[in-house]
Amino acid sequence: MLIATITAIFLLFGHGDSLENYLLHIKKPVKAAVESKITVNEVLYLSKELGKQLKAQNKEITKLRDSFLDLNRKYNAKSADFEAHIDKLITAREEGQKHILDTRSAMKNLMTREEWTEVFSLKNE
Amino acid sequence: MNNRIHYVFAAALITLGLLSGCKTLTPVEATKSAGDETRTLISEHVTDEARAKQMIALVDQLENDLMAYAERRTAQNKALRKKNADYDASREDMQKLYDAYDRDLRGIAMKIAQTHLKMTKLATPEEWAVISKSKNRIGGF
Repeated sequence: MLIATITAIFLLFGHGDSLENYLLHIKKPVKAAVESKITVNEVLYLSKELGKQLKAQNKEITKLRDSFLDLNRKYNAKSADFEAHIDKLITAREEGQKHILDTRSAMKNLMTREEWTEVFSLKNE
Repeated sequence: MNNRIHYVFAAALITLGLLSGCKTLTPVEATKSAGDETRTLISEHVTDEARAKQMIALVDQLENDLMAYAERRTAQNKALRKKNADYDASREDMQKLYDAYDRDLRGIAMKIAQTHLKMTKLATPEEWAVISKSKNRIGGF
């Protein structure tokens, strides 16, 4: 039970409602809101690259989750063991967040205020 | 024995269904389902009533904490998307939100770990072996 829930918690990193999921599935609103085809392609390229980075990150998180599962099976697991695993999971998550924020900054540099507002108001609808 | 076989078979089918994407459980549903399963396992395998009662109380508490966390997480995702849509929101503004969410995540993860430690103090190694083995099976979702 604990395993199922912690799995759900950590792997929900890419959950449907999350910001990264918005940045990864941006094609339609960007094509609708951004006039320059060059900008559209550049933004979509950034989105695709983010997808690759997060895929690698999720592999790392899955490995950490599996070792957490092993730990949870152990009758004699210590608090320090859990803390060390949680630290690693949070660090992996922070690395993913860095990629997300880098991508957001790069996308913002490519789009005008109006385009940005329209893209994300379309996504938030 | 027949009942047990039916139970295992039904559980396997449910797991297969979940893994194949027949139904996606929300975090709250997944937590409730896992909590129910754990309570059943404790009732079945922990023979000492007083210890079983304490273990079930721990599961109840953790289930409540996780459900509350799932709701906070939904709100956190919403706030992050809203902040993202604001063209004037700086990287630092976004980072502040992530930092707060990570602190919350660490808090709930530690609660899970503490519950594990309290449960293993109450369970015998044999009882824990049965309960933790079952967790493997439902860990797929």
